[in-house]
Amino acid sequence: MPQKEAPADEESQQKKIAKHDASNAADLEKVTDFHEEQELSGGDLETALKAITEKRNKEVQKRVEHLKKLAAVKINKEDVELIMRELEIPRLKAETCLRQAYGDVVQALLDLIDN
Amino acid sequence: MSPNQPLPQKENAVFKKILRCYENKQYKNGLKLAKQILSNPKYAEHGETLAMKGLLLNCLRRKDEAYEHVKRGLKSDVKSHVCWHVFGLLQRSDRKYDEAIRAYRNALKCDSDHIQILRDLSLLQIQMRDLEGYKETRHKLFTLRPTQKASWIGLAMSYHLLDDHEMAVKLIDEFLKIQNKTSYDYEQSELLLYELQIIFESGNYVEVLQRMDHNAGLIYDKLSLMEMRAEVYLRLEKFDLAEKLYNELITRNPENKAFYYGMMKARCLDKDEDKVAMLEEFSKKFPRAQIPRRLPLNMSSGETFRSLVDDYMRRAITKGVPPLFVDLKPLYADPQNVKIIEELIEMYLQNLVISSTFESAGGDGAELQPVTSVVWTLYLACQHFDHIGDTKRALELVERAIEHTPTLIELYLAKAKFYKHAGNMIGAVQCLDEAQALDTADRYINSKCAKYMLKAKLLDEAEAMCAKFTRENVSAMENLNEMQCMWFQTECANAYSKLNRYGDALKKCHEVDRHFVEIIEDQFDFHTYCMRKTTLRSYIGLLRLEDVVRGHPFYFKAARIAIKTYLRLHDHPLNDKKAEQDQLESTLSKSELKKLRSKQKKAQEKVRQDEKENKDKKVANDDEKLEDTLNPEKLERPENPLEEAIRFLKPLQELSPKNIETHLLAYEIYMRTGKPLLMLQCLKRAHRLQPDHPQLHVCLAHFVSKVANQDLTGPVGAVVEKQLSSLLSGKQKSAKDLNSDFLQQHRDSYAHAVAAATVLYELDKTKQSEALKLLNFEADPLIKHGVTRERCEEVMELLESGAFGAIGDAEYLKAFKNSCARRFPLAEVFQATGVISAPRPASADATADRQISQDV
Repeated sequence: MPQKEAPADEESQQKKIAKHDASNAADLEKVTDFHEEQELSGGDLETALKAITEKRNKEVQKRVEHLKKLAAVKINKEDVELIMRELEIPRLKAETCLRQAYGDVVQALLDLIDN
Repeated sequence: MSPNQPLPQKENAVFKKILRCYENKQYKNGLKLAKQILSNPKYAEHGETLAMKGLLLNCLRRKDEAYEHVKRGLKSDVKSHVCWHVFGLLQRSDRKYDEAIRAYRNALKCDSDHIQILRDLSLLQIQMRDLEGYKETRHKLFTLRPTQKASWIGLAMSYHLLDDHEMAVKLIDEFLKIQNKTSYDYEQSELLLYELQIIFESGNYVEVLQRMDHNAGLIYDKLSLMEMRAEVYLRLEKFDLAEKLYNELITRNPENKAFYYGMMKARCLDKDEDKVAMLEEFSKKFPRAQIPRRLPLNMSSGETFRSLVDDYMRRAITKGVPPLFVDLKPLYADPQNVKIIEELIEMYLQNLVISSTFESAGGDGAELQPVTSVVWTLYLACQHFDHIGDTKRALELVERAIEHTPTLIELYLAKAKFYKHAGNMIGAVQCLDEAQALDTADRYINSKCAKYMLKAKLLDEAEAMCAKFTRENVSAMENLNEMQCMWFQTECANAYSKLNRYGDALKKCHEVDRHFVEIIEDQFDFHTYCMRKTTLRSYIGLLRLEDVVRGHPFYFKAARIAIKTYLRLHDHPLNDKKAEQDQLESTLSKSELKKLRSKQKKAQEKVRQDEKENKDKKVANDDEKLEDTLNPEKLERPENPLEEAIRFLKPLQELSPKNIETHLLAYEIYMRTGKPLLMLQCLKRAHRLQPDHPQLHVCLAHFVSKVANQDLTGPVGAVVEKQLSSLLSGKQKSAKDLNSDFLQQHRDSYAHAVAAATVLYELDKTKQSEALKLLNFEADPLIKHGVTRERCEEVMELLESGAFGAIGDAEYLKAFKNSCARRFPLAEVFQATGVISAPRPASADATADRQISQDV
């Protein structure tokens, strides 16, 4: 008799595990569920927005100036290619580094090696 | 909907239903609806419906059909944002992120303000860590939907990730003002804590404190709040307040190390004895706490250390704490500690035998000990002697322990470890097999046993061992890969590479690499989920973890094997399969050939069967991931091995720059690609970490001799000249002088002698006998340290592989081996009979074994 019981017990245990697995899987599945975004209501949205936008505009201006400054540095195309070839880095990185070194290729190489 | 292909009202309603079905994951219903529209011949080529049908098919894992439909859709309505969006989603599900971004951008060209597309784009940008791009997209979303919570939080996060703390805080502040909740709200509590974290990171501690006081009632994670407040008090040097808080924290949890360190800072304790006194105070207050007893051992020495460690060990032995030695191991860095621990252990051993006490009669500790104390002391003692290199004593003690308690599995594990340390893997495996047989239900021992088998290159046996615990009906190899069991795969790779099975080794390395790809991929869903749940502190933690996940030792180990294997394949490329076989066969006798043929036939049959099985499986479950399989034969014949090696190297350079091996491996690669500046970069980085590393010397000498032979001009030459002089501390040296100086400076170290010998022979092949003389550690009275078994094994390998040229004097090799054997009597490789390879029973036996174990 006990022999007969054992497999039945095992089975129920397996079922339990399966059930557990299933609920785990369901929980995981929920992570990717689609959710409608909730709308905010009340509060002074206008003022808040204004404060943020002002700050943001200042920041954009600052960045444009920085980029302008960097772009003003004259760089040699051959130097860029030398850096790319010797250090196996992408063009954008080579250019930026060369500009930051004010176009001095030896300095740019030294900077890149030293980090 | 699409202006190019408008649908009439009825069909349009159906199309909207399709979108709904997709969002709610009712893919099959969606397909039915799509059929409704497409079956009308007038709309059979309706682009957006075709695209949506493709997307639904993709969700049902019918990839080929999916691509076909989406492409057809795009062709018929190329101006539709839906078609491009769907195309992007498809690419993204195939992990082609760059292509997906391009598709989204095209979609935005059709409709620049489409919220869902912008959202999907932002997800890809954060996944790819295009932080500037993420910020721009988030800003766009913010201006389009200022009424949504996600817009505010997302934008704030994008600023935080770019270290613009001020803007991030401003955004959250404004958002909280609008939201204006006063009742219990856990999400708001998390948001407030996240804001505090940002301000803390910006270093404005005064403000953190002010805000904490102001919002204390709204924050429900009290522990985090307390921890942060205590930390802030420390930074602001408000020590009395900090002390009060750390007292509370320690009372909450007396097992948290960080709290004690905080307390030391709060009390401004600098001297070690004060710290020890403080910990003692807490030990009295919390007598059951472990940490205030263990920590003082780190910061005491001499007689104080003796009395503390004495008490610590006695408690642990009486109680029976198996990992006692592991717990004490960090203290072995100080030789004085080692001596004290050894004296104590010897005393225990002696007295336990005589009087079952730790101390001789009359002492304080003359308490009668339980019988188990004897075996735990023996266990501690044997590990101690193994650690200091006295294998003989260690084995003696462990035998005594086993005699005392033959059922304690730890003892067999220890014994196996001693054999491993002595270089005898066969012996080690035998011990562990015995241990494993004592308790077959213990997976830890099972795994350990498998690991040792792999170290002994017994691959089939290891797999059979693991199979006792892996899922049935799947091969253990496959199952362990699925479970991302990386220790197993790395050990496999190591074993394969020792057996010169390069393709198999590389396959394992690539599998490990793919686990990391998958771990990184798994972030994706959390970009939306965490934002929605406002669990931002954990989310930031996750992003930062994923950024450095390849810095894990698991990755390092696999990458090292891969790089070394690719270097070897670069130096000695394999012939194609056929030629190799012919060559092999020509050296075999007839009977051997016959055996080989039947073996090959069997192998082929197995492949065929596997293929068939695989096919069946594929039919059975559709959603099996279609990944390009790694083929060992292809892997060991790479088109450009150095490029492959660099692929594994890059993450090491980025994430493990503190490990000198990274840069030494990098040098090995770049010296083969012949890029002087990249070689120089490796040298500089390694030099910064450890200027006198022996292998670095080999690299440096190689570089100097190479640069001397090669006239570098232009900017490259200038950079090399400048950097090299700083590496050689301003002096101009030839490689030869460099080598002799190096040898003089490190005359007592064998590791450095080996490096010097390598360079000597490399520079001048006529100096062979001089180099060989340097390797002979027995004949050199000046060498005091560094003669380890591992190094001797390496030297043996170098000698045998011809790194020092053909050795005319055959006696030399024999003599070297003999002196190693004298020094390391248990190590297999130095035995007179030559290299003992592990006995490899036919794989058929292993499978049979597995069958039996599964039947049981």
